Amino acid sequence: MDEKDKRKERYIHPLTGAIREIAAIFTDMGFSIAGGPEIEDEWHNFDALNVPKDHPARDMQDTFWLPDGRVMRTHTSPVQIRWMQEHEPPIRIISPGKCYRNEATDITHEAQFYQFECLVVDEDITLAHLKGTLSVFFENFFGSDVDVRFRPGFFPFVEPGVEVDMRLMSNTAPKKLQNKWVEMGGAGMVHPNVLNNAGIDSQKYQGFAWGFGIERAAMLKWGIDGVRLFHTGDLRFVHQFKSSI
Amino acid sequence: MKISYDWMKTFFKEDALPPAEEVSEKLIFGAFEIEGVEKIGNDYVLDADVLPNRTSDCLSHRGIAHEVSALFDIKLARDPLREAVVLEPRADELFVSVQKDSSCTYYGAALLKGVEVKDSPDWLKRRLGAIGQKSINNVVDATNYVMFELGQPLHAFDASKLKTQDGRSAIGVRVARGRESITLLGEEMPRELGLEMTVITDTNADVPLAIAGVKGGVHAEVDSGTTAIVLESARFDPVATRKTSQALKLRTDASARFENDIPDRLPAVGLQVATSLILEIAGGTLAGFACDGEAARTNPAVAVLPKEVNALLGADIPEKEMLRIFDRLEFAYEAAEDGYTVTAPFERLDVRIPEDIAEEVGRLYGYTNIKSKPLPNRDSTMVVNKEHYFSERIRVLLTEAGFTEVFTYSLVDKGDVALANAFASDKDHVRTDLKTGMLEALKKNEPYMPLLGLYEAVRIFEIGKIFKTDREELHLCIGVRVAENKKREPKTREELEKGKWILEQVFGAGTIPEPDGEILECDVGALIEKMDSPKQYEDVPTIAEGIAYQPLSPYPFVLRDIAFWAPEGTGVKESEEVIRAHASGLLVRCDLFDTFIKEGRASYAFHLVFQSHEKTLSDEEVNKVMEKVEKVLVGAGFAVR
Repeated sequence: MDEKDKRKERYIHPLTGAIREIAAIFTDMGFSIAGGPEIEDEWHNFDALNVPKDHPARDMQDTFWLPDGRVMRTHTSPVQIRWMQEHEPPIRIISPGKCYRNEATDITHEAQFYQFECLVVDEDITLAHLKGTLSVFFENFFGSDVDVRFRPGFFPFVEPGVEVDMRLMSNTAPKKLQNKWVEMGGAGMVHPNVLNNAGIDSQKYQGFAWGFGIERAAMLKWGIDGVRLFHTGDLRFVHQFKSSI
Repeated sequence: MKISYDWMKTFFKEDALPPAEEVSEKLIFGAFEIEGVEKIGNDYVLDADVLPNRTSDCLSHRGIAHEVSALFDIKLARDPLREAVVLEPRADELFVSVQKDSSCTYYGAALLKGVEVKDSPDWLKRRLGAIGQKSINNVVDATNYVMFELGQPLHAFDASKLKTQDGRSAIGVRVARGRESITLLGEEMPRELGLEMTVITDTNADVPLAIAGVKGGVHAEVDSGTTAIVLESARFDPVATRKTSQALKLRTDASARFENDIPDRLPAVGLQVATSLILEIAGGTLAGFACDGEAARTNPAVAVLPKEVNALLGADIPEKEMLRIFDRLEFAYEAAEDGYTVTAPFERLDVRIPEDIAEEVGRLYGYTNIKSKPLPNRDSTMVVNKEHYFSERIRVLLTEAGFTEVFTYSLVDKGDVALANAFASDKDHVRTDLKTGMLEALKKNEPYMPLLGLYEAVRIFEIGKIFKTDREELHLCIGVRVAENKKREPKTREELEKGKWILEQVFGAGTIPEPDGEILECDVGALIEKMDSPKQYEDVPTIAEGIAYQPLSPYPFVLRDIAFWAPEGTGVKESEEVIRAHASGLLVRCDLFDTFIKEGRASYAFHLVFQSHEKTLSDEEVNKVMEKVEKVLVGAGFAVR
């Protein structure tokens, strides 16, 4: 191939590729994209999200603390709080962004990772809407018919809390994923304390939320075999993902 | 926690418990993850990953059995938590006192005399063995058994090793003092006690006997000569226990349970059950019980409206079915205005608000029975996110111009903002610029240029947050590394100027700083801030359909060049096809780098890149392939130069 032709080849980093598809799916459904700081105060990252003061998640092992008591955000959930503080329902947002966990890194764990939050708050939002919205997301993102199931889960900021599994049913889905249940992450109905903490009347409004790992979604979609490939700046990795145009 | 199926069976009528696999499946979809079911002898052991909100009632065989009973709707045949607790008679020879500022809220003790410490009966050894617990002696085993049966940790002290005063032993619970230390069971060196720790003491001798909630000491250890024991069953504060256990770097089955909050009434139940068991298997007599502290917490009566439960779950569960679910869970309920007040049994510390009740109804009704619904139609309130819009715009424009996006680490070895508790010294700050990571990425990619087909330059960019002491900024950084022998400086400058020009098309002339060496970095967040809000998002390219990642080879690549005069009428494409057809599966790239025409004949020069996924290629191997390619080319009328 000619060097000049080579210049015409365009590559999309799979994190950007995944976020791009997620953004398109949800903006088409009228969702706004929300952002927030990566260095968070403890209130937004923990207190407002109903994570008790003595919760093990706040422990030294899991959270990067700054000397002044702030944290590297451990999830994108604080963006929920920031958005709800400034907006009235109906609320429909997604929030993709970088998060941090203070843990040893290996092939499936990385101290920095991307998550995307989804939050819907309105007068009549239910667990059935969560299931429906997840189906729309998985169907579009993986390009396949999909089954979604819930298992009981626990996260302080939701009640009920569920673990989400999906099963891709079409032969258009990546081969390894066809007809197999795959764990996708945690979700649930927003805990009334979280709504109240963010200034939303929990008597009147309810909603659902989830926070999924973007690397995980990308790994499943494109068959990527290690989470560390995403953040090393290695073009041998990025060059595998050609742009559609 | 490990759960023995045989042990669980003892809570049910004979043959009432469904097979282990079925139990596992039901728990997974109705309660919590079962990591695996292992057959051990004739027993099955379930590895239950109890959710954090259920650790107060489910870290025990009774807890799991109760869950199984509710999920399958099979009544328990025995339930020690529902039996009356009578801690009598009071002991004349034992006194217990709990200091108010200690981590203990209730301390119960029993004095047993004339016990015989010996091997445990076979059934007990088998039970503990199934869940991986070593048998020690009948007394210690009995305390462990009750912990795994009910979730209540217990401890036994040798009563004869306690100092008596006026014919009476005294157990105290108090905060540790300065310079106090204790040698724990199984350890040789004494441990210094922190001032925040609570200790169990022999009050008369003022000697610490155990670290509250974590582990007992050697001072009053039960041994083969023990004939009288003091049996402890208490509740310690979860947070204090966790801090103590962390400070000691010692986590035990007991501390794990106290950390998770023991229900107030459980210690008394545990004490009664353990006392009976020890009398049964070690003989002796009960001299009496002594206790201090209180078990005051009760569960709230939660006001529940069935229609609100359905409104949260998005289901249509009949009221009658909800009441059946409450029965299965042993939740007490009373009719109230429009609905019910519902109270969970004492061991369920997690049921406090209507949403908790909705969750119980949902999981017992079955989440699989909840049908998907599309979101209700609403007028769109969508606002375009300016930062997202312009970041995408820049990505698209730079990608079109031949730059490739990378992501690098935010955690680095130096910067304006330090982390207080980083695990590695090379990742104890957050980055204060992108260029440091960018230069590293350039350096990392440079050796792979031929493999990447980038013979001229590596051109990359990153968009990401950087951190200063008082703020974070969204930066864009472009990095260019030109191959050696390619007029590096002017070429680098030219590439970066091109990047700058592209950005100025978006943000306006004069907005972008001059490149510095191989880098162009700017505070793109500030530039975006000044832009008008777009009305809608633009369509942007996605990753092409059908792409599947191929693992990277860990072995080095080999670069060879070949140049030849092509036969008349043979173009680049045909030439390349001949090479590819004969260069073996080890050829990963074939890139034209030079062409010239002389006297009607075309000369082409190609870079050939070889790499294996299995091994490091030797020169000989590659030579062989090259010889073959040359031979084929010559045979087809090419003149290799």
